[in-house]
Amino acid sequence: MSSNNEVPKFGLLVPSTTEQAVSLLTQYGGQAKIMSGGTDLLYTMKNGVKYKTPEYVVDISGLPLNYINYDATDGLRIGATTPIASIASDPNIAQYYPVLNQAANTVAAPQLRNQGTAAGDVIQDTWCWYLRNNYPCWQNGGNVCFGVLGDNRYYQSIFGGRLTYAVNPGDTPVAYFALNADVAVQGPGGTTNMPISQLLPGEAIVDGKVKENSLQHNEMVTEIHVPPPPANSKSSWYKVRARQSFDFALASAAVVLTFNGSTISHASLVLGGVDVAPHRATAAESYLVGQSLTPSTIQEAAVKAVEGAAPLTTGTGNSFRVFLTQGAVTKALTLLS
Amino acid sequence: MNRRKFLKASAISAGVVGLGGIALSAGNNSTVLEPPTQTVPSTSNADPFALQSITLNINGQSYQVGVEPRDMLNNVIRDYLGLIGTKRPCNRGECGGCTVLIDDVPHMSCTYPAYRAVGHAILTVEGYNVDPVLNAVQQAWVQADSGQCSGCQEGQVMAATALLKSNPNPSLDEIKFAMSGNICRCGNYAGIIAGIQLAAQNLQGGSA
Ligand SMILES: Cc1cc2nc3c(=O)[nH]c(=O)nc-3n(C[C@H](O)[C@H](O)[C@H](O)COP(=O)(O)OP(=O)(O)OC[C@H]3O[C@@H](n4cnc5c(N)ncnc54)[C@H](O)[C@@H]3O)c2cc1C
Ligand code: FES
Ligand code: FES
Repeated sequence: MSSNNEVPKFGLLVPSTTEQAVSLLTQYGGQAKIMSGGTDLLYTMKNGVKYKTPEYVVDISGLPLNYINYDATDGLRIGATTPIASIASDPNIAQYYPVLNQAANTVAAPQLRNQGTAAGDVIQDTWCWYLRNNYPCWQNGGNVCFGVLGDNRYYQSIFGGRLTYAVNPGDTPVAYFALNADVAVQGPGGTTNMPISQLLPGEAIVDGKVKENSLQHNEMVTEIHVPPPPANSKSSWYKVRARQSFDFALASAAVVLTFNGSTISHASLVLGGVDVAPHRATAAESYLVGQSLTPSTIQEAAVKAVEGAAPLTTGTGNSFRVFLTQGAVTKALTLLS
Repeated sequence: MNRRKFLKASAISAGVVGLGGIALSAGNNSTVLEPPTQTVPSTSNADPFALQSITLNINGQSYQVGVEPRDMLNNVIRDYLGLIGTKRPCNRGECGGCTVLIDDVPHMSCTYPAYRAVGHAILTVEGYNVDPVLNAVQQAWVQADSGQCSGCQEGQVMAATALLKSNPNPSLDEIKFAMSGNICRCGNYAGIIAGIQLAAQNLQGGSA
């Protein structure tokens, strides 16, 4: 286990266009990785995490992808390198997408939001301590999930897993899921648009490596697009963390509800920090349609939100997060009632 | 002796900062910085691992220093330039103790690549004589007894300075939010908040 506190030597490649970024990634094969803000990548590199430490870094921070555009018919477009702090303070996002505004304001610390970027928060690696400390887990060249066996209180799924049980750590991706966002992915063959759920399937095997996102080594996210908010909709976010100042979610809930009068006509409810990808709570969503928000319907929705939960009973166990998840859902729905 | 210790030792003994055989002066004679064309220096036809000579503007002075791509701003400030006011408690972006301002925006210098700082104004805790807000915060810190063991305080002072530059009269909630990236292991948060409030008051009253 190497952890010498220094970033290991790397070769710096600075593209001036996204096409050039993609061709550099192609040219260097699996040896090169994108660096956007660097807040996640430099951390894993300092810890010498074997499968996550590249020899070459393609620094995309200078590319013209730092923008937020809102249009009532087109919706919201956020460039990949836009700082999270800009998402957190954008007035249109605050007005039309409160769930994203609130989620962005709970990401990490102010300093990290100034440096960390829109795409980085989506593509960041899990913060499971075993991976971060270079244990040979599924995501790091081995064939075991240490989280299942060991301390799984904070960073492991309560909704099961296949190979790897580590949760997707990002806050903004939970909001993007709830808002049905799609992402533009640029590769050697051009740009593809895909729903964010396809980018973050929870577990993907790419080039023989177990990963949380489905990107090939020479693909990059260039833009996140969020459709216009439905008429008569409201949205909210609630994040439970061990420490109020800054911390990853023990559980979070992102909610977008569309109303017909006081009756819910459409519900989108996504849970964060509790599954290998943001987790759509479908049973709660279908329950909520046709209801209005009252303490008892909120309570019932919170119960339905954790339907199918399978907290770990090996190692430390993590069933307490089932209750925290219900709490997050209750709080997020109450904010809209 | 590892690389960093060697550099530190050589910087102290020779009064210059060197890296890989290249001696560069950490001069007091400021030269005017070229306006940056882009944040990241282009390496199109260079060896991607190569040491580059860069110029950093720290507290209004310019410093020339050789850096590798992997050098973080914190290593350069502390270990190569000897400005050890900026601390490195965790080196992982987890504590805020290494906070410096880049164009008045707070950043964790332990996780910020040094080459990216070219063309930007860096303010560290040593910059009190060039920055009146920083100066006022430091004065208030003494008056309000904001430091305890002080392991975190250089970072707290810088985060507080960034706050008061963008919001001269913050509410208690705004202070807590802006300071949420700075962990104090002694738990002296009440003292820190008092220091910020006092600095804000002194700056408004013009008595800083
Ligand atoms: C102490 C600490 C606490 C944190 N707490 C939280 C928290 O509470 N909530 C939360 O959501 N996050 C949290 N984070 C994570 C932080 O938000 C991420 O590190 C940050 O968002 C990553 O953005 P970046 O631009 O710095 O990414 P980078 O470090 O540059 O990149 C991260 C990963 O994404 C890849 N990547 C980046 N951009 C692209 C792109 N355009 N296309 C393809 N791949 C790309 C990189 O190759 C790398 O693998 C925390 C981080 C730290 C260090
Ligand atoms: S040393 Fe940089 S955040 Fe702790
Ligand atoms: S004063 Fe001791 S850690 Fe903050």
